[in-house]
Amino acid sequence: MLNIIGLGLRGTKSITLESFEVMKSCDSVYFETYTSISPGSTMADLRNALGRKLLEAGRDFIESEKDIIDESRDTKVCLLVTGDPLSATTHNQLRLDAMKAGVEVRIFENSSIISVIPGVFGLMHYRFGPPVSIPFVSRSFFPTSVYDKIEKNISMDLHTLLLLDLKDGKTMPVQEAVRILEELERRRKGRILEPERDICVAIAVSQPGQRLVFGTMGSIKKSGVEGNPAALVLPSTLNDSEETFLNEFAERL
Amino acid sequence: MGIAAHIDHGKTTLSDNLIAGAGMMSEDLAGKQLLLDYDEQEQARGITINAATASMVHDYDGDEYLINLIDTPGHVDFGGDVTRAMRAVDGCIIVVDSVEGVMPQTETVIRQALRERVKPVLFINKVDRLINELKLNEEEMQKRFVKLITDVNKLLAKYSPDEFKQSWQLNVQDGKVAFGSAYNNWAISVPAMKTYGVTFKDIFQLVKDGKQKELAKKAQLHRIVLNMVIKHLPDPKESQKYRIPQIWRGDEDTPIGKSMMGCSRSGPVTMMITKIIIDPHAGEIAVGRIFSGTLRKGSEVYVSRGGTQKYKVQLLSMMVGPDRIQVEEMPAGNIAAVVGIKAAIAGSTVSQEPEMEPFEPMTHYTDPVVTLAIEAKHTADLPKLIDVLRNVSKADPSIQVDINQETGEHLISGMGELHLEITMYRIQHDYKVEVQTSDPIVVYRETIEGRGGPFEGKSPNKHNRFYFEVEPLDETLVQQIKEGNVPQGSKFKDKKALIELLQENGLTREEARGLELVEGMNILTDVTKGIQYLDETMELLLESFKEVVSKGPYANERVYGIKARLVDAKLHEDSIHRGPAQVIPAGRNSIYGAMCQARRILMEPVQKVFINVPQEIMGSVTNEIQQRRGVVEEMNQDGDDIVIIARVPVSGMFGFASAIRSATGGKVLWNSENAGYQKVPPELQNEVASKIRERKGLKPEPYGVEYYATL
Ligand SMILES: Nc1nc2c(ncn2[C@@H]2O[C@H](COP(=O)(O)OP(=O)(O)OP(=O)(O)O)[C@@H](O)[C@H]2O)c(=O)[nH]1
Ligand SMILES: [Mg+2]
Repeated sequence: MLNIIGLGLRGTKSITLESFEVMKSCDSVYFETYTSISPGSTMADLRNALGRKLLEAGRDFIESEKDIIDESRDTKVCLLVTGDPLSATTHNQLRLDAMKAGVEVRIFENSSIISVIPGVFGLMHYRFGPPVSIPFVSRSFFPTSVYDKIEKNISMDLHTLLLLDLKDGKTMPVQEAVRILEELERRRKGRILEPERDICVAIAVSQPGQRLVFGTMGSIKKSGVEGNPAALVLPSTLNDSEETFLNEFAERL
Repeated sequence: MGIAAHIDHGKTTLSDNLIAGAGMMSEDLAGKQLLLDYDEQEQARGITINAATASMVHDYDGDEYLINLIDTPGHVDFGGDVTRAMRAVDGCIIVVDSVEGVMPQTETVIRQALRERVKPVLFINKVDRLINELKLNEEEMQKRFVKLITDVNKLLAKYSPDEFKQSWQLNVQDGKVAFGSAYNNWAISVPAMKTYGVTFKDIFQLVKDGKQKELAKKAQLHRIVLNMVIKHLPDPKESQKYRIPQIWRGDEDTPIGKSMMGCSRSGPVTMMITKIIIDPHAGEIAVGRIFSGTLRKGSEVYVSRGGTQKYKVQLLSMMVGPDRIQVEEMPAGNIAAVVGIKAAIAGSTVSQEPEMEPFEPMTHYTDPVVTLAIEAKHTADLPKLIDVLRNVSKADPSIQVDINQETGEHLISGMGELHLEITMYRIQHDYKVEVQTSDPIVVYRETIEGRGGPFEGKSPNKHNRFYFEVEPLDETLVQQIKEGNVPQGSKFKDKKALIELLQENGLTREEARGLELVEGMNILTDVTKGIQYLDETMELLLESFKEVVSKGPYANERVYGIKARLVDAKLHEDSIHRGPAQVIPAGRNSIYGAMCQARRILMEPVQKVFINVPQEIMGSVTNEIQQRRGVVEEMNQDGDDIVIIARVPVSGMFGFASAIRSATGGKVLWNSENAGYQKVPPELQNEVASKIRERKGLKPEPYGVEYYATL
């Protein structure tokens, strides 16, 4: 049996009692470190709490999912995923492939940055369009479809959650993401990511050191604000209560 | 102007005469000193290795003319220097040894000149040998001249640019041909016969009677040849009008374009670097042709691909062989030697404007065929060796230095055994690094024999899939790429004309329109329609293709002559899941897999070997050739000698020089030229492939279709 368990955003503190019991009863417990990142000490804390070894599952492991599926045929296996387990395509693919292989799969949901972020800024869930990822770019990879997706949300007057790519266990630096947005604007000669546009920056949401700020792209750039993990929101027009909440819950830079 | 010919036909001897004629060396030594062969190895081996420049002044009809001359090497291994020299010059003296006649390398240098729109005249050399050694009579001598000129004209007709096919034909009457003996310092042309009152008969007699000194006074070589040059070779103002559109793709209506078309000395400075000399004192000297403006000492210039970095011209000089004559400024049309432009390499564009459209790259006819693995004898010398290798490949762009990723050793590749031998000598003696080298390694190529694919290549996360088909590229198209008519890279200027050309050379309309990349002699084309996000993924697929081309699936050798067609693709919607780490391997696996389905084959370089041997010991020569997997193609009688022409794989040629010498007691004359690549015999394919793989630290058996399917 394969148990795909969401850990939430607070490290060991957001593990549900039920999933904790499942972990204890499993033959092996994998901790996934590829699609998102938990607070630094989570793995060690959990090891102590469970009193057992945790196996690290990096990109290669998840991508060659055959091994974990094989193992789940005859034994109880847990795969621990930071946030919510099914936000990433990767885990749904694993779920499907395991089911196809005749393995029983159980899912334990939890909160994720996607479900949490509207609330922390005081924005309405139903005013968000699809989230958009910002990948690391290079000379040979600069996907301008990112811009199209943002533009579509803006044209429908919807907020956009910007998810930042990961590297070496950290999210992309906030300032790098801002530079990419500027470059997209330049390449598309657009008028939606101008320096006056407001942008919200959420750092270490639901973790010690949480910081919520917002301001124009220009002032965010100037402030040099940084932190890890980070996520961004491009708000569209705010309604009255959103306006009030945002100004109360986050600090304007 | 350039001086170009087959090896040993007398280029450097001729250059000596011209330099002496201009008063820059003693006339007595002309033809013997070989001033332009000043390098130690050139003197030791009696051949030219480096193209060398000499600037000189000649009086003609009361006017003074400045001539920049480049003497080029004749040995095939150094052909790259000929190509580069041709970019710097406007005209060229083709030298032909009247005894040997038009040789393979004569044809090559003529092609190299014409490809750069460099106008030729002809000097028929070593006429003394026709008379004294071959004992031809006057009539036979003249017959031989006619045949030579006809042979050269045939080549000119074949390779001249269309607009010059007629006007660049050689004609004795108007003086585009001179005859003479560079070693004995005399020459004559038909118009000069009238001027100086000398006839063929006189020449014949004087030479026969051993009075060449007297002849050299009557018909001074430098005068006659330089008169021919000034009368028939174009000056820069004239030639740049038709050369610039050929060597520069920028807009002719811009200030730079106009100035270059008119060879204006007041316009913005533009220069193309054709050679880097590493001088023990001055450091790196960039030599090149100024196409526009006036280059001044102390001024600042930009280098193509060097961004906004400026370089100061610290020293500016003209050259006469090893000597440099410093000048304050030099106008368009000249060949200059510059100290200070550190970022320049052969092929760089130097300009006063930071964003100048660079000159077209210089097309080379051959790639390196032999490699040596090299390491420092003392580990402490490793950093120095790396430095030296960088310098060596900068000074000689035909040398290619790579690092074997599997074993970490340095690989140095060149145009032949001699080329590498000389390079090794320089590393040890001039740069003083003690090194150890492997036996020479042949540079193979990989290609395919049939069609393969569509083959599915998956990204590691399985969310991206590419489907490529491969097949051999039409030989005519390979030729077009070689000639530079189909440019390298992925940015195409005039796509419409290119599409037409591609269709004429065997691509379908869809393939031609979908052309994405020309990499070496391979192309990648995208024939899919309307696949979302493919446009922003294409650059990564080009990376995949470049990796495949640089390391084929059979033995990790370079791939040659394949066409890869992208026929379908499935891409993840979220760009985060289709970055480089996902797409590059997916594309690579798809092309590799498709190549496995088509049959992979190895190609090996071959040489054409020309051997002159007395009839009675011919057997030992043919024996030697057969032992080396060679095939005798032709045998011709030449007096008492037999001339054997054979094709021998380069892998069989190692040590040939000494083997043939001892097999024949030294009674052979031979030379060789690179003659392209041929299929490794079927029964040897796998054996050769696994040897190469083992040497590279790979497992001996190449991966098969199944492997790429499960990745
Ligand atoms: N008899 C005779 N020998 C000549 C004449 N011109 C050159 N040679 C000899 O031919 C040989 C080759 O001359 P080079 O001037 O070095 O020939 P090259 O074309 O520069 O040779 P590479 O640069 O090595 O290709 C030398 O031994 C010269 O002395 C000539 O007119 N008559
Ligand atoms: Mg020479």
